[in-house]
Amino acid sequence: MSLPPSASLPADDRQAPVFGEDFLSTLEYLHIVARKILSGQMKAERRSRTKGVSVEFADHRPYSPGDDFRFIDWSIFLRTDQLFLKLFEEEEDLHIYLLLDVSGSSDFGVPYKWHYLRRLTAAIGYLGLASLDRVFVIPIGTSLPKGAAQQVALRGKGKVFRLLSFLEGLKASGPTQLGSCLKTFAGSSRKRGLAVVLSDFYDPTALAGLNALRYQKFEVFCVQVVSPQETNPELLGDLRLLDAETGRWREVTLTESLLRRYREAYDTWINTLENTCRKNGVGYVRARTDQPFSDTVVTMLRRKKFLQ
Amino acid sequence: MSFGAPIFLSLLALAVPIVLLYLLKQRRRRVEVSTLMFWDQILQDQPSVTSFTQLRKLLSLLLQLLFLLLVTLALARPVLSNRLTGARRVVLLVDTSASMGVREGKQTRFELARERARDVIRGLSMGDTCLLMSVGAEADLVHPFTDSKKELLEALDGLKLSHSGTDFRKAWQRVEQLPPDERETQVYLITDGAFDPIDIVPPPRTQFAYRPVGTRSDNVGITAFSVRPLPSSPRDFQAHLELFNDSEEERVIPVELRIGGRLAEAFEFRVPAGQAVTRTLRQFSAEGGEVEVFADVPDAFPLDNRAYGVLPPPSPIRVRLVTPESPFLERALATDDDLQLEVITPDKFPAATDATVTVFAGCRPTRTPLGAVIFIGDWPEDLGLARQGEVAKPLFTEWQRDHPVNRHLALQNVGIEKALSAQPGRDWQRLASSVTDPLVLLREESTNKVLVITFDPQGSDLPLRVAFPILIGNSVRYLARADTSERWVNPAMGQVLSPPEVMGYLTSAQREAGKTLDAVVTPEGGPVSLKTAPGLVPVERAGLYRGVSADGTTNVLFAANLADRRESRLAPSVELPLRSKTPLVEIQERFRLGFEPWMILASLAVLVSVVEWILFHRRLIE
Repeated sequence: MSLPPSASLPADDRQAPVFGEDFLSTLEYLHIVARKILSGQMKAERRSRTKGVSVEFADHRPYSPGDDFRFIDWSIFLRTDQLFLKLFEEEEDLHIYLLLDVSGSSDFGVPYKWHYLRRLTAAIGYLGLASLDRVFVIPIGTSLPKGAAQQVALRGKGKVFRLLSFLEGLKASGPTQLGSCLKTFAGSSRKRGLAVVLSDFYDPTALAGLNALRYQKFEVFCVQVVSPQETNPELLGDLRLLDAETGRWREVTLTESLLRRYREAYDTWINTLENTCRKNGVGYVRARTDQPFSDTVVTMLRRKKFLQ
Repeated sequence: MSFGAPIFLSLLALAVPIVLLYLLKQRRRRVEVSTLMFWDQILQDQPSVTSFTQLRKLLSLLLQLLFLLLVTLALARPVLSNRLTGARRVVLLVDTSASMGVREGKQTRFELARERARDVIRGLSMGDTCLLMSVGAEADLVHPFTDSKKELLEALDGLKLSHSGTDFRKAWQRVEQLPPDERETQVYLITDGAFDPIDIVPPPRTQFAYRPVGTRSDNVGITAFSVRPLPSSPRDFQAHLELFNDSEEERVIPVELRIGGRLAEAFEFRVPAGQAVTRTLRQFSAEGGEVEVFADVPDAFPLDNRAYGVLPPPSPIRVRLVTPESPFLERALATDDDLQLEVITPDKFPAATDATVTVFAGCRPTRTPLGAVIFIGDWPEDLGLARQGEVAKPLFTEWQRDHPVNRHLALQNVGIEKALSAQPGRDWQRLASSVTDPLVLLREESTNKVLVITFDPQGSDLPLRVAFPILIGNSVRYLARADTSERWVNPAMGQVLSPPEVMGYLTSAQREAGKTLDAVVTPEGGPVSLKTAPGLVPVERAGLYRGVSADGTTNVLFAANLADRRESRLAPSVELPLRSKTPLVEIQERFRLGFEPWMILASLAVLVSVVEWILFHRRLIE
């Protein structure tokens, strides 16, 4: 099945609306693609990491005083003279947390990285809403949002317009503290679920934040969005480089040699991020803004860790 | 040193704004990046402005000032003095004679000579000028002195091989006539040396170089060939042939003779090594035409294996003999193949048809007719030739031996019974006399040509002599203006014929008939127009030359042959074929700067520009 042509983006779309007229049809299309890929694992059939009461056997554990003896496995007791309890997987609605990086580094690039990030967030959120999951969109900058107005919690396909409206209202500016924000989120008393971090991950502390999520039993998925101007900057000569997040500048005379070293440093960082995620069982997808965002969504769906 | 365009030196003033622009603080371009995280990482050990940066900027400034200086000097075209550059005047003599057409492997000697000449031209250096001259039978100035290698190479490519011999003497005469020059004159001879060494007096400051081409090879050639009609009958002709064997062994050479394209005779000649044999062959041709002789020997020089000649077709002269009875005269006229005879009695004379020459023998008309007339033994009263009785037993005591009428005549001791004594006026020419009494008289006027023989041959023993038919035949031909002496003569190779000279190769009958030529077709096939100025026909290719008339008909005019024993000798000269009482100075080849200073400066400017681009735009210096 091929993707609709609406997935293509103009070269410089900063002035274009973030969600165009055909955006919803693209989302619906992605939903169909997701159903085919996930083939019957949608809607309350996802296995939670929490063990509970259901018909699906999960594991055994030794009996402890106070346990419900209705779940004692008597056949094992007859064979071993030991009391073991049968454990069943608890079926529940999935909580999907979309942690969206709203720092100034997202306000960059051609095509526009901020548009791309929001479209990607909307698409993932729509897939969750369509599966009757609970979807939370949490913007992260220097800190997590304090009030309810600064985040959104939705359920049901009908809430998609609220989701889009919320995303349209967000602004990308200022610095980011990705690591501390993720740690704070992991330490909160929220119900465990799927945490999708959408960012460019230009923050060395991000790895610690991802680990904190993982330790707190969240399913973690990283979506790294990068611009072509970041992967392969076409700059030469005497320049003053301005940091889009902090406003800090640095004078530099760029040569081919320096550009080569930049690319080496850049590649080292994104490879470190990807390898760390892979090693720790964290889902990872890298998306370039000059690729259609729908392609990125399909790639995410094909990864085993996403929406299972 | 001076400058050809010193005005461009003012461009040096551009150095001031260049320096000022460098002194101004450079404003860096602002570029926003999403993060400085990676730039901080790679630049942590690299300060943005260092002393090295200052040095780099200074180097850039110096390179740009150097570029400006080089471009300015190049545009100003500096000229170095000849003394400084060792400039010279080069005279390039390239042999274009026939022997240069000999094949040496895949190339001819001429092509090899052109390659040598190209090497000399390419070796011209700053301040040098070169003159290109081709040397064949004539020395032709192909290109005057120039410093343009392109023009010289183009002129060299346009050189053509001729079929003539070599006359380096003429070339040397032209070299001697060159105006004096402060530079050295270097004369390059590029030739196979197929000519005898010439004696020269070398001008001062002149050097020589001999660039020989070719190697020795055996050859057999026709070194002389000509045809001519016999005086007794134009239908008979003689072919004179010389065969030369330039090899180290005796050769038996088969030779074919063709007339009008048909094989007329085949011979074999035995020619000793290194020698020539000469033969005269007698042949008959009723129609005349083209004569070709071919020595059937495969060798490296096929050009001298063929030779050509031309026999004009006989055109009979219409002769009317008016006589009661002259059997000797009638027979003499009838046996001449060149004459078309009509015999009538005197009573039928007025009604007779036109003739080119009318002969009255033993009778006379009442009035002298117009045209060409021969009176034998009597003449009319109105002729203007007074009679004074008779002369008894006259003898031919003197006759103009060089006059065409008397050609080949031996008139000694002719016995004559009597002759009429005539008193010719000043308009009469005595062709033969008996002391003071004329025996043969000639008067030529615009409308009337009269020859008078004052005695009756029947009263003499002249008809019994060989001289009689010759005298009658010569007289008729002379009055008919039939040309029997020049038609077998061909122009020499290398000669340039003017239109009147070309017309001279028409037969007398054609000229009489008013025939004119529009063009001449050379053996190469290219027509040369005689109607457009200058209409000159160069005889430079061996073969047959044909004339094209206004009505489109063609007829062969003349033949041209190489016929040069020195050209047929294919051994190139080993030494410089020049001799002098003073030793000749040979050219010493040495390194010379092959281009002008502005080219060096421009090249350096390009080099500086490339270096500046590599160092600063490619940013090798950081």
